[in-house]
Amino acid sequence: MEFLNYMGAVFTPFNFFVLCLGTAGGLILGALPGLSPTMAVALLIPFTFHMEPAAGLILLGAAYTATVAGGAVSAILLKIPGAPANIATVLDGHAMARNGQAAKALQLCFISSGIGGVLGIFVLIFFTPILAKWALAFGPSHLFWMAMLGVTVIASLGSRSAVKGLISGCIGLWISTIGYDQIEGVERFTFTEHLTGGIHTIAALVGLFAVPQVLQMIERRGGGGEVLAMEQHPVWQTVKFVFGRIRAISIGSIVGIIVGLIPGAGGQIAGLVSYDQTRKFSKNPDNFGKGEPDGVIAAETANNAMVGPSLVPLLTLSVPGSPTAAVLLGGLLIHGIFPGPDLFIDYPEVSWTFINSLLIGQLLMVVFGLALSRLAAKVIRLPENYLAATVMVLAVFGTYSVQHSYSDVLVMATLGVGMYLFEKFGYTAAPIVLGIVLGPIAERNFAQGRIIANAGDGMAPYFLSGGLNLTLIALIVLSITSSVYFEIRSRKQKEVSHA
Amino acid sequence: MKKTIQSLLTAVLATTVATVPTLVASAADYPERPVSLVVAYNPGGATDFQARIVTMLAGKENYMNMPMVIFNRPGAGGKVGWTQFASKAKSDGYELAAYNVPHFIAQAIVFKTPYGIDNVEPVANWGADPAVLIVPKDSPFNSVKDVVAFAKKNPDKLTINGAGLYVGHHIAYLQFAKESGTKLVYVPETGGAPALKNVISGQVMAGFNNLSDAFRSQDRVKILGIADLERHDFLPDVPTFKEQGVSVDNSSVNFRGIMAPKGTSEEILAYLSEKAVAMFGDGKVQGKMKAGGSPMHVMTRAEVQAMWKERQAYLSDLLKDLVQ
Amino acid sequence: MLDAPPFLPRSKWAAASGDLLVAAFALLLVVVSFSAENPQPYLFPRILAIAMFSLALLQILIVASGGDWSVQLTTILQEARRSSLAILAVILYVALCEWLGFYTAAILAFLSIVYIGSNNWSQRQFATAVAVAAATAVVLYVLFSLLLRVQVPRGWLF
Repeated sequence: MEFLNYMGAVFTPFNFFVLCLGTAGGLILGALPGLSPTMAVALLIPFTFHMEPAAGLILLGAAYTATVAGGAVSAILLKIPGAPANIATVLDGHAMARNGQAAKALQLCFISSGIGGVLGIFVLIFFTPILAKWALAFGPSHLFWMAMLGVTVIASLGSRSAVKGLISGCIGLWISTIGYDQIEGVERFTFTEHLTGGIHTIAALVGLFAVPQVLQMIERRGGGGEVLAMEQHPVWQTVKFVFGRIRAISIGSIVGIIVGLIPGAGGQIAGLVSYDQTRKFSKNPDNFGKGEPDGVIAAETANNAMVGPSLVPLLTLSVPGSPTAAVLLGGLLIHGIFPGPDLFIDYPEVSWTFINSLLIGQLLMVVFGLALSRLAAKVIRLPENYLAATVMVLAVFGTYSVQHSYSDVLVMATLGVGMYLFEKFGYTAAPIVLGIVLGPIAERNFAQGRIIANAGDGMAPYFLSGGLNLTLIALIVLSITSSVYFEIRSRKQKEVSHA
Repeated sequence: MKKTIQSLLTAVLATTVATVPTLVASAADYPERPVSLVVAYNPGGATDFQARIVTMLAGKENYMNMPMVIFNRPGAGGKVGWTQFASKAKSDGYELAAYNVPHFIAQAIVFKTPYGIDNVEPVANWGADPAVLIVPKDSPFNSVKDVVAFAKKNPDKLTINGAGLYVGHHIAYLQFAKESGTKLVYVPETGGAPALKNVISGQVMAGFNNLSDAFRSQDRVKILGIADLERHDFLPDVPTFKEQGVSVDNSSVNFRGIMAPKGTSEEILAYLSEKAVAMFGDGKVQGKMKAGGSPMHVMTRAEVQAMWKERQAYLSDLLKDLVQ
Repeated sequence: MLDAPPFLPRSKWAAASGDLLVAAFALLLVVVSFSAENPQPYLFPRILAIAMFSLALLQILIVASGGDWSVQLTTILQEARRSSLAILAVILYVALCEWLGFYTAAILAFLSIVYIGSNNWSQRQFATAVAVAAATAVVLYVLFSLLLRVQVPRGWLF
C-alpha cells in the first residue's frame, strides 16, 4: 500500500491541472482519426522538458490513458476507430448506435474502460516483480504463435461469411509486406515510389474505415439511411448494467492484462482477442455484431486493462513493450530516471506519483468521457453531408501528420475508395486492418526464430516444443475449431429458417 | 481507372515540380520559420530520444531563434527515411535530417540507395555511442576470449543479435567475426530495445548493443567488451576488444548528427553548423544528455566530413563481399 | 455441392464477381511472388498468395453451390453510380491537395462534398457552407499547425 503515501503529489494544484489537461486533450486527440496514442505522447515530450519530472510524467501518462479510450468515441458514432485498438469496439458499438443506443454505448465504453484500466494498474502496482520475469519469457517463436492466434480471430470479425473474413485477413497480411522487407531490406511489391515506405498502419486504418464511411454518407443522401439519435440514458443505469456483466468484464480484463504484459505482441489486438473470447463464452453468440453490449464491454475493458501491465517490462527492465512505452521511456530518461528493478527504491516519489496519476487519470477519463459523450450527441445531429466533409478533411490532415508524408495520404485515399467498392461485395475492413497489424509481427518473429532455430536444434524443436508454444498452439486449434463449429451451426440455422 | 489516376497524379506532380521555383533563401533572414528534422527511426528509440534533447534549445534567441520540429520516418534500419530525405527534401535549409554513421554509409555501399556521403551535407555531430558486446547475466561467458573459444569449437552455433542489418551493431559483428576468424549467426532485430530484451531473456546467446542502453541495464546483462579504440568514461572497467586480443577498431561507433540535402547554400550550412555546435555545447543540453546516459561527442562540419570519408573507405573494404 | 455446374449461370457469375476479382488478384500475386529473384524475402508473401487464392476458389465454390447469394451486382452498380461524384471529389482532393496547399484544398473539398451530398442547393445554403468550410479550416490550422506543429504543404494562397 506504499502507493497511497504518494497520493498527495497528484493533487497539488499544478499536477492536478496537468492531469486534467492531459486527460481531456488525450480524449479529444484520440477521437480524431489518424492521431494515435503513440503520436500524442511523442508530440507532448517537448512540453515536458520544462516541467518537473513528476508533472511531465503525469502529462504523458494521462495522455496515453485517455487517447486509448478516446478512439472509441468515433468508433461508436462514426464507425471509424480512432486507433487500431478500437477496431473491436466498432463491431458492436456502432451497431448499438444504429439501434438507437448511442448514449448507452458510449457510457458502457467509458465505464468499462475505467474498470479495466483500474484493474490493470492494480496489477502494475501489486504484481510487477512477479510478472516482470514472465514478460521476458516470450521469444520469437511465442510471438509468432501469438500473432497466429490473432489471425484466427479474423474469421469471426463481423464478416457475413468466415471465408470472406479470412480472405480479407490475407489481403491485410499481404498489404503489410509492401515496402522494404524487415529482415533483408529488399523492396517488395513497390511499383510506385509512393509505396517504398510501406503502408503505415494508421494511414490504412483511416483509409479503410473513414473513406468508405464518407462515401456511404453521400451515397444515401436524401433519406434511406440510418439516422442516429442520441437517446436519453441515465448513467446510473449503465453502471448497474455493467456490473451485471461480470463475465464480459472478467474476460476483458484478463485478456487485456495478459496481452499487455507481452512485449511486442502489439496491445492493439487485446480488444479483438477479448471480443472473440467473450463471444465464444456467451449464451447468445449470434447477437454479436448486431449491437451486443457485451461486445463493447469486452473490447473496451481489454483496451484499457492493457495500459498498466504494458508498463511492467518498461518500469522494471527498461524494456519498452510497445511503441508508446518506448516514448514514455524517453520521457523518463530525459529527467535522469533509469527504469530498472530499483526504480521504486531509487525514485519512489516520481515513480509512485506517475502510477498514481495513471490511476486517477483512469477515473478522470471516465468523468470527462461521460461529459464528452453528451457533447458527441451534438456531433451526430449534424447533417450527414457536413459530417462527411469534416471526416474527409480530417482524414487527410490526420494521415499527413503521422509522418509528414504525402505518399501516406495517397495510400490512405486509394485504400479507402477501394474498400468502399470492396465492401459492396461483402468484405469488411476490420480483418484487413488486423492483418496489417499482425503481418509484420508474424513475419519478423518467424524469420528471427528460423535463424535462431537453425543455429540451435532445428525448426521443429524450436517452434513446437515448450509449455508456452504448446499452450499457444492449443489455443489456436481451439479458436479455429470453435469458429468452424459456429459457422456450420449458423448455416444450419439459416437453412432451417429458409425452409 | 487506376492508370488514369496514376497518369493524372504524375501530371499533377510534374507541373508542381516545374512551376514552383526553387526558392533560394538568403542567409540574412534564415531561419524565418520552424526547421524540420527527419529521424529515420521510431519515436522513443535512442536516436529519436537524443535528437529531441539536442534540438530542444533551437527556439532560443541566441541559437536558431526558431524551433526544430522532429518527425519520424522509420523503416528498414533507416532506409525509408533517408531515401525519402535524399530524393525529396528541398535544399532551402528548412528540411534537415539526423544521420547515423556507419549505418547510412554501410547501406549506401551494400544497396543502391539514393543517399550516400556524396549527396548529403553534414552539419554537425552531437553524439558517439560505441557498440558493446553483451551476454545475459547468467551466461557462462565472462570475457571476449570465452566467446571466441566457444565459437571456434561450435561454428554456426553462436547467435548474436543487433538492432538491424548494416547498422553499427552489425558492422561490429562483421568485424568481430572477421578478426576472430569465427563463424557466428547474426540475428537482426528491429531496433536496439527489442534486441536488448532478447539478450536479457536469453533468446540469443549474445548481442551487440548501444553502450548507453547497456550501461543502463548493467544489472541484467554482462558487458564483455567495447568496440572502440579506448575504454569509455561510463564503463571504465570494461576492456576494449583490442585489449582482449581481437582487433576490432572504432568503425562501428554510432555517430549521430544533423545533415542537410545536397545543394544547400554554403552560407546556410555554415550558419547551421555554428549554431548547432554551440547548441550541443550548451550546459542544459549536456546535462540532460548525461542524465539520460547518452554519451556526447560534438564535431564541427569539417570534422564530420573527414570522419565520413574515412568511414567510407574502410567500410567499402569490409563490405566488398556483401555488395548487392 | 456435388451437382455444382461446371459453368456458373449468369446470375451466379454476378454474385461471385467480387470473389472472381479476388481470385484473379491472388493469382497475380502468386505469379509475382514466385518470379522474384531473391526467394528469401518472398517466403511469407508466397504462403499468403497461395492461401488467398485457395480461399477465393472456396468462396466461388460456395456461391456456385448456392450457399451465398448476398451480393447483387446490379445494386452495387446503382449504389456506386450514386456516389460516383463523391468518389471523384475525394480523388481530386487528394490528387491536388499538395499542389493547392492543404488549407485551400480542404476548403474546396469541404464545399464540394457538402454540395454533392445535399439534395437542394440554395444561395443561403451556399453561404452557410462557405462559412462552415472556412471555420473548419481555421480549426484545422489551430489544431495542426499551431498545437501539433505539423507543417502541412502550403500552396500559393495560404
